[in-house]
Amino acid sequence: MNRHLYLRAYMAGIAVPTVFFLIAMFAFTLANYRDASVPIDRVIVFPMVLIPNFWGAWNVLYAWLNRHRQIPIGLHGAALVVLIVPIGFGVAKLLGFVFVAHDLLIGPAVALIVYYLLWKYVVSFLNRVVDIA
Amino acid sequence: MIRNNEKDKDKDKDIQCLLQSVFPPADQQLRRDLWPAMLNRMQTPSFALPWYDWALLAALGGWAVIAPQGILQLLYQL
Repeated sequence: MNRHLYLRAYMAGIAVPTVFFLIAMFAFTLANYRDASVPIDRVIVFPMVLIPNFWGAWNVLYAWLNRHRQIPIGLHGAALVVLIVPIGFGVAKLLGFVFVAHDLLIGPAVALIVYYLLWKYVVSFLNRVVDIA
Repeated sequence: MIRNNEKDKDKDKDIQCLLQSVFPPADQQLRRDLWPAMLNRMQTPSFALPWYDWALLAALGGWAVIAPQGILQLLYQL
């Protein structure tokens, strides 16, 4: 299992948001069904295309960093929020749908907690499965 | 040539005896049954969450109950 370390890291990273995408897609479809003003075709671009690739690349970075020094994976995952949230809001603004102002404060804090827990327990488990310490 | 070989063999035997006297023979049998320990390990839960992770989970649950409209925004970032 010593070969293709970064490929394994990418695949382990991309797996979690891919699973969550099903839940997100279901929730967005339901929201669209109840309220036709939800622009599902534009909203779905970010979680479908960018998020999984960010997670994969972030786990590759973790695998690379982990070869040099031990870093807590939960904090590493939480740090991804700093990158993802501004890009997410940027994409939302670019595609013409906006978030409520108070969510600009609460949203990133909640995302930070969720990312921390997901990386600490789920991505970490997948990394162990594919033999990335 | 033959004499040299015999000398070497004697030397090897001496070294072998010396090594055997210094190092005790390796254990070839288990000292105890390892299965109960293995069974115990298999039956205990594999991971336990620290208190602060429970607190974060509780905060997350509280937030989901108080502001369910934010769940879509959270899913947008997952």
